[in-house]
Amino acid sequence: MDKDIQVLIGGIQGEGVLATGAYYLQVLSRMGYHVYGKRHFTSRIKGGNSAMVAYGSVEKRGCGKDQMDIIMALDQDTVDIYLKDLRPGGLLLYDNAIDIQYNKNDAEKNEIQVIDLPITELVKEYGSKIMKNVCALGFLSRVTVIKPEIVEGVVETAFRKKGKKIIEENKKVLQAAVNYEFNSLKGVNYLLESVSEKDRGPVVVGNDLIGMGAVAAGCRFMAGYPITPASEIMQYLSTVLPRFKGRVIQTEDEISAINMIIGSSYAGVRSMTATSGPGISLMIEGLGLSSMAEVPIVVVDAQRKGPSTGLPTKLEQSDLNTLYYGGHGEFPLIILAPATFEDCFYDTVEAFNLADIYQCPVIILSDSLRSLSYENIDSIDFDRIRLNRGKIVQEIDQNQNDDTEPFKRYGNLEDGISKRVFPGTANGLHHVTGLEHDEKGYPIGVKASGEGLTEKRMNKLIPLEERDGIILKTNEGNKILFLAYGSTFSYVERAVKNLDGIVDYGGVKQIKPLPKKQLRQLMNDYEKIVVVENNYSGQLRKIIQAELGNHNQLESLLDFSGEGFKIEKIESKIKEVT
Amino acid sequence: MAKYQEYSNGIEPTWCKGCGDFSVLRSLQIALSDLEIPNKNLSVVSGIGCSGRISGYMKSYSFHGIHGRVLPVAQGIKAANPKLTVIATGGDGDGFAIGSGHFIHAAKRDMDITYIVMDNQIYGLTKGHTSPISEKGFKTSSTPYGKEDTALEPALLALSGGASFVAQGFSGYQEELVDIIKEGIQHKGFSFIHIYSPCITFNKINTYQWYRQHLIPLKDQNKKHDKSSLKEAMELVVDKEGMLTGLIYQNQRKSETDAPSLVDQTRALSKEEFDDLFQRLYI
Ligand SMILES: Cc1ncc(C[n+]2csc(CCOP(=O)(O)OP(=O)(O)O)c2C)c(N)n1
Ligand code: SF4
Ligand SMILES: [Mg+2]
Repeated sequence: MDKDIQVLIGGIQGEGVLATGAYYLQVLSRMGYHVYGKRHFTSRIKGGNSAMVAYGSVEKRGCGKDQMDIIMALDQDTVDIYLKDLRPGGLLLYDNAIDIQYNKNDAEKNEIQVIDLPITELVKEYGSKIMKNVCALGFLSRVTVIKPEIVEGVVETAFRKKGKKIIEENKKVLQAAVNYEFNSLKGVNYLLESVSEKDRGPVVVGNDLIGMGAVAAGCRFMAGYPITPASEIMQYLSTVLPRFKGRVIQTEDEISAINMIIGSSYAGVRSMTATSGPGISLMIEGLGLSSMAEVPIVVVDAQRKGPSTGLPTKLEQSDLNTLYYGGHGEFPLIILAPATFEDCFYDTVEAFNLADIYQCPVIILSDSLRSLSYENIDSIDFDRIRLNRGKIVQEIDQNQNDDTEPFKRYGNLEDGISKRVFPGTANGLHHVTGLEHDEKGYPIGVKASGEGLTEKRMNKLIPLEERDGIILKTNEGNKILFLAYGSTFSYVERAVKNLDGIVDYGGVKQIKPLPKKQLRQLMNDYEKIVVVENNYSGQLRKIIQAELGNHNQLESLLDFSGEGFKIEKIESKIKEVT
Repeated sequence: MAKYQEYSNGIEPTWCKGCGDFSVLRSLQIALSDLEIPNKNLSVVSGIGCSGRISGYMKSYSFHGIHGRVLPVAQGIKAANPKLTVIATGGDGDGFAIGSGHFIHAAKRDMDITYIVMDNQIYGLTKGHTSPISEKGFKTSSTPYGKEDTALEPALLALSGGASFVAQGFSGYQEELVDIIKEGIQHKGFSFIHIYSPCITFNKINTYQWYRQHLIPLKDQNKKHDKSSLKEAMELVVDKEGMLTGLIYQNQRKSETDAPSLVDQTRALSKEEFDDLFQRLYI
């Protein structure tokens, strides 16, 4: 049996519940657990509630479970919103500075154990108000009986830059909580023991790994405009890039951001931007320019819910149509979708390589859960990092080209991939334009055929259709396949595993160009394919149908609640179709 | 072959005969040849409009982007490779309508680029629509009863945005234009050069003759203003309603060191650098 624990910590936004959750995950990670953390925000302006779900398990999962074992409430909202998610026999902890209200009959019926904790009181006595999160962490560790040394170690690391004094003060509060004697804890059984001697590594969010992947890929310029849930990428790079003599510019808007990275990439530096739906809408014209001018760029779209401003803090996977079908006109681009936490790193490196090789925009299609969920990572395989900058010409011999004629920037119509030369290179002068142009980059004008280089550009990505862009997990004899992309993949995986693998499942990691060869094979191999996505209209399923037909074989399982799938919902679907 | 022609790619411009942009193109080429900027280190970026075609006539690393976004592209190029001489160019619609948001922020960011606007107070390429710089009452196909609002003052916008070099010129005064462009290119920081460049086809009001009558060349003024004073520069523009040519404002930055090239930094990490990055992931 997989040993696991899931805790929800909730309080008023700004009280540090996210930090408590993150520290707790780091504690579990030191004890050898695989962890997963998910933030919840409610959309209330005045002191809205925020909560974090912290999950630890022996087996690596990439998601939590539907119900909580423990809820720690630092405000009434947490009880109101989440008590329904506490499993029967679960534990409700609350700060006794608040006079919490809940339905006592229901709680009794569900054998919920309710314990009050003097969180605010201890903080007043031993430290200051801002240490509430550390106090909460202390109690949580106390209840789950974790060795105090481990918790102390995590606090030390977390506050290492703040100095000895702060560390000592926090430790004092921590100890007060850890040593607090309370009778009501008798019989509580949440003993967690270390499951491995090995620390399972730092706890970060997907966006951090995307940022780190970019640095490892040699990206040295980022331009962006803040937006949930993508901002962490800019934050990460703002901290790290200056150390590598790189630069981040927070632009006046997303239109500026995408055009700026087109400029910087044209000049030779690997460049990226990161945004979410509203920003993507503003960037569309820029995507067309990047594709038309064949200037590689990497754009992260961390999808969030809804059109317009939508529900900014909620999940949806609904930008796919826009990105797949593009803006005005027809132009090639690549869409990669990291399915697992680790993919956030490796796919980012790959995105930069593909952008350079194919000289077009590459979208890293993430979503709010893929971008903002916490997980731990024990290692990243350094040897897997390979940089391929494609066809770049460093030097041009004067005999080849002496600038009386421009360098044929858009030459080579065989595989459609031309040679790039950066400004500053002798004998490589040329013109780049978003107008339809000839091999020299000059506008073709009214006399020439209107086709221009359309075929060259559109056809150059065809080889990618042959790649295996879908990761598959199979069992002998299964006739049904569940497909998902982004954060949804791990939820499908969990549901399938809970039901002993009675269906096969896969993650679509390369969405554009669609891996047609592999999909054709899958259509042959399976009687039915269920595409699981977080949107209203089944965008990925419809794209596959539009590109490959096979309309009877494909079915959708959708969720657009903004909270992501309940694993139970996927389980029901699996039972229904098998 | 005259020396400035080394900056021409030999393509004949598609502009109407007599368009003010010819003079801007020539002035830019003369300025570059006087300064002996190597072609390989020159990047001319342009927006969309008749004026935007200018990059297509230059012998340089030329980039013709999308409407209104010339400054973001130019800043990206400069950020990537500060060794390049980056000239951003465009029309009044490109710069002060669709691109106006980028304009003040580029001024504020003050990167070392030169921004040349060919202002004909009209949209030439779309065949004569009104522009933010058109005068109140100006009749065009989109304002058949006369433009309702007043004209924007680009120099004031640049000054309040924080541009460190603001100058104006006129296609009809080529000698002055060449000097201003040279000064702008040499200035370390964001150099804004606003050029009145008549559209002879669609703007029958703001003609060469009209500009000659209305423009006041600063060099001919007896009373010289303090070019390093933002206040005096602003007063001057307000007093003369923008009808000036010459250097209006320059704020020389001291001890400016060139930023490093990011292009050379695009590289793989060593194992040590990578391990260090990984360790720093710990909260
Ligand atoms: C996003 C977008 N909107 C509209 C256009 C159409 N358009 C092209 S140029 C232009 C205005 C040109 O005026 P200006 O910038 O003053 O340049 P000029 O032709 O006068 O030199 C417009 C509206 C476009 N290309 N892109
Ligand atoms: S339409 Fe006006 S701006 Fe355009 S080329 Fe002709 S004269 Fe110049
Ligand atoms: Mg104009």
